[in-house]
Amino acid sequence: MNTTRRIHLNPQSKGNLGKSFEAEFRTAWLDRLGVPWNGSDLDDRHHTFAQRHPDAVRSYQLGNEHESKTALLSLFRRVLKEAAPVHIIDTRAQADALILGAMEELQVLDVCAEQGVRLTFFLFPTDDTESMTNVGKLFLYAGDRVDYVVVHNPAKARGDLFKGSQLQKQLVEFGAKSVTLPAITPTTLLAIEKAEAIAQRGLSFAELSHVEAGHLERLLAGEIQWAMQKMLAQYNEIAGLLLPTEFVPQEKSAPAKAKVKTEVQPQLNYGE
Amino acid sequence: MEAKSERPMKRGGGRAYRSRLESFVDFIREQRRQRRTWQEIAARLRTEQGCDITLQGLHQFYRRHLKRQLRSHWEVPAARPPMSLVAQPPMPARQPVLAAIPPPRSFRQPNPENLNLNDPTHI
Repeated sequence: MNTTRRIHLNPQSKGNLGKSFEAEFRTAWLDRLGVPWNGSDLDDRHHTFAQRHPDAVRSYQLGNEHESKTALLSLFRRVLKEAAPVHIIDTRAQADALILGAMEELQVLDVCAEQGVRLTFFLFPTDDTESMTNVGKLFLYAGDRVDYVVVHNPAKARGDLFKGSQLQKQLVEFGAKSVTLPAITPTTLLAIEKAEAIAQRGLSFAELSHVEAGHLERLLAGEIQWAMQKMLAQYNEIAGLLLPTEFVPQEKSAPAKAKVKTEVQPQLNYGE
Repeated sequence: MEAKSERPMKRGGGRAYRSRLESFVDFIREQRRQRRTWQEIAARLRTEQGCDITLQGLHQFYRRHLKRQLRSHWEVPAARPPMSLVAQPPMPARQPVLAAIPPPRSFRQPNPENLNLNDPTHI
């Protein structure tokens, strides 16, 4: 199926998993590829995503069950009308039931499929059984209608419940790919908060990675650069799950293989 | 004998729904519409129609008559045949718009029994 647009969603209920942290690297990767994107921030407590990307990200108040459906209806209507190839939705904690309920009642996955829009779910394995049960529910609901990226965050969880489990095997069977978040020192994370306070606005990781911007000291900006490099390489590996078909970079090795085949062919003829 | 022969002959009466007043129903109805009392109608029946009847007999007859009108009876030809027997003009074929519900989805789901996590007690 030709995917014309992608919606990235991290619907997991538990907070403090590194969801917004991971999304920062992903947006930086899209910008480096030159893939236009926009987003929605459903974290009505922090609005970190919207504050870091005010030009591209719109904030929504999820509110209670009824209000959340209205908010999500508005969000998905806007997303389906817009032309941006990638839309990133950053959710808040404890919103999974609201999101799944609205998706089911509004038939979001069906409508998206009809328009060539495919969703990618970002799942964060934790050491919390409730959160992992939540992952299973999301997987069971969406099945092969969405793609899955499993985000390991060693700084937050060892992932012992998940690694090697039947759930992991099933996800792999459904084409899930994994990325592992780099561990950033608390010093750098605190410095980021301080830099944002001084700048009186959110600062994207891309901005922070520039030493000359002066937001972070050389060593700390260097750590962001290192983390960025680690994540960009991983996103390149799973680009097929993150981008619309036309934006997925062609594999470099493919033409080389074809060339080898054409070289081999005359030798085969000799043998005959 | 002559005196006996002067008495008015009974016409009908006695048998079920065979009251001699049956033939005066329209007359009685017309009188009632003109707001005449039962006594006045009985007198008119006697003088104008030659039907001697007491006001009680007249009143009971008409009351029974009205009751019979409300329900069909095998002896009374149906004034209005049941709707099912009436030749109805052909109705245009109705094609109602059926309500839509979410179509059944065919997509691959994981086996719920294979979504287990590692046993936390054996980690």
